[in-house]
Amino acid sequence: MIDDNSKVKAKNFETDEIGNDTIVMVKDLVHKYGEFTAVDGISFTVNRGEIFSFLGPNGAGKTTTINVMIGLLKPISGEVYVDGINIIKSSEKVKDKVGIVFQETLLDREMTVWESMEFHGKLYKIPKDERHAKIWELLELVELHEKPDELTKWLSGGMKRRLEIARALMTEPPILFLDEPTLGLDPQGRVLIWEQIEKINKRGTTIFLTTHYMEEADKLANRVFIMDHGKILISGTPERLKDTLGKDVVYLYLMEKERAKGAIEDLDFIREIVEFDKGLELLLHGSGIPLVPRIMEVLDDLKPKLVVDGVNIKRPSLDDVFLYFTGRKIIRENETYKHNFHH
Amino acid sequence: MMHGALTVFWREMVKYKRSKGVLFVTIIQPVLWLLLFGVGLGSTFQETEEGVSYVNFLIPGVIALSILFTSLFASFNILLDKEFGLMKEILMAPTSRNQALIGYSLSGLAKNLAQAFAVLFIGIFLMVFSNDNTVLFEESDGVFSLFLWFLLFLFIIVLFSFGFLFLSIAIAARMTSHGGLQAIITLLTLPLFFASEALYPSTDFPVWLSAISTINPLTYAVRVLQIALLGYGFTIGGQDLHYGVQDIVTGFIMLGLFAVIMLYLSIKSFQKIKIW
Repeated sequence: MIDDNSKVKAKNFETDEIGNDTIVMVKDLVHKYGEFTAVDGISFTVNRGEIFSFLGPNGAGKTTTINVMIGLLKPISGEVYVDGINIIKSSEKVKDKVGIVFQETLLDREMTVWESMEFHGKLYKIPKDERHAKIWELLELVELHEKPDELTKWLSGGMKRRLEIARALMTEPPILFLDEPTLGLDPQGRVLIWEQIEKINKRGTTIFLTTHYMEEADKLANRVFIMDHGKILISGTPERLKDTLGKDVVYLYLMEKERAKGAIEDLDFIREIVEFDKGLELLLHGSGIPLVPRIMEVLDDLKPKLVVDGVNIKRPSLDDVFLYFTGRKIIRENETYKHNFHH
Repeated sequence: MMHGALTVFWREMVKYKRSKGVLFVTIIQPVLWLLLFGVGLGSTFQETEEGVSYVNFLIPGVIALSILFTSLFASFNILLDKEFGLMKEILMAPTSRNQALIGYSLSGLAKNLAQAFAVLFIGIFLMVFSNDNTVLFEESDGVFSLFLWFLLFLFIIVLFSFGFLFLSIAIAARMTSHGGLQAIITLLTLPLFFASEALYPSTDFPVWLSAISTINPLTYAVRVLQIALLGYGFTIGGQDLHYGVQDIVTGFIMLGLFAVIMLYLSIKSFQKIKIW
């Protein structure tokens, strides 16, 4: 009896670990191309039914991670489970489980919309009647049902992407990987893709999205992982990530940055001061509206008088988060000041 | 069982049918060869009463040459699919690489057959409408015998096509640029082309050239096709040529061996294709 119970427990523990509501589990994943470390020991899980996003600049390791998850690439080390399948051990079995839209357009220019779908369906051995019904259903979903006989070379960039998304759904995979799905699209094309991604997600497909467009992750994702140099820097809902920068970001436009910084850096509600070309960017612990007057008070008291040209209070966007954590484009506080705000 | 192969074949055929220009050129090219080269060079051959005309002599040779060229260049599609990443879709699907390889090869074979029939059709046209006394499928006497000779003709084309298709795939699967593939194929075709009996009978070949000729698959394909279409013995430009059943048997053995070795090499190369 006791033995049986412990077996059940062990089993439960195992399913718990991979989890019924967890569709992807990645643990300590490392991959290198020669000396270059593309993915540096990342771990994460994706919940069934969510839109999950990797946000990061080019070369952050997003595509490498996808290639491992779809069984194209054997990593140096780590554990990867997709829909209960151990990818490292049996990469073949994952073929039916995942839909993938690669970053580059992979459509045959000399084939029509319908033929592209037909070819994919045939490759995956979907019986004819079912296949044809599925093709029409999916073409309608991505709003291409009026162009079945159009050669793919005449489609717009957005249409090509939508066709590729429809194609990836032919096998009804529980999870769809989209690698930079709106790269190079015009704004209207991008919005249309977003709508369709949300529609597909509502049909019950988990979406794994990589992007380097902040507003894309912000708009679509339930959870965002910010990745840079093969590492996950921070993760959470877009809202929570924005909160990590504090309640508000305050921009002070002034000439004498050093003197102003010296005066206000000890205020306890200021988390971090970042210099930019026209002044200082302040990350606050609280809301900006009551705190800005207190900052101004301190600056007013300075002798000789310090001129502030302007003040702007802003809710942090995912843009600010991304720039803050990847350290690109914004000028970080120099080393001497660093210990001050990590109090 | 052949599902993956047939799917890849279907895709190639869809595209082949669509590219009317390519379709037209591949069919018209051997016909032009036959008519221009046949008439041009044929005028320098002394034609005798009982001999075959040069144009007719050229029919088996032109069939073999078009198959050689089309087969060797057939793998360009594979290289393009590899370069543009389209092969990812095929290799990621639940079908084996060997199936994909066979699918590509079958599509190459279909194109070769289209060419072979175009040339054969012109040959029959010439036979009927010129005052030449050449009869194609010379050795056949009766419908059943004609059928058997036709089967022989088809079978040798299939075997010969596969040999060079596989060779071409074996090369293309390892290449990364089409400039390179083109250079290799051009380099390969020249000696094959001239050290064969496709364009002229080889009774006067110097020793070194006939040595190359004996290891040249094209030689065997041309010989069997000549026997099938022109008969065991015929006269061309004053030369009497005599072949026997043993030439057919040797042809099959050599071409079969060639195809099998090339199949092995192409499978090896295809396994090495990287798609990411």
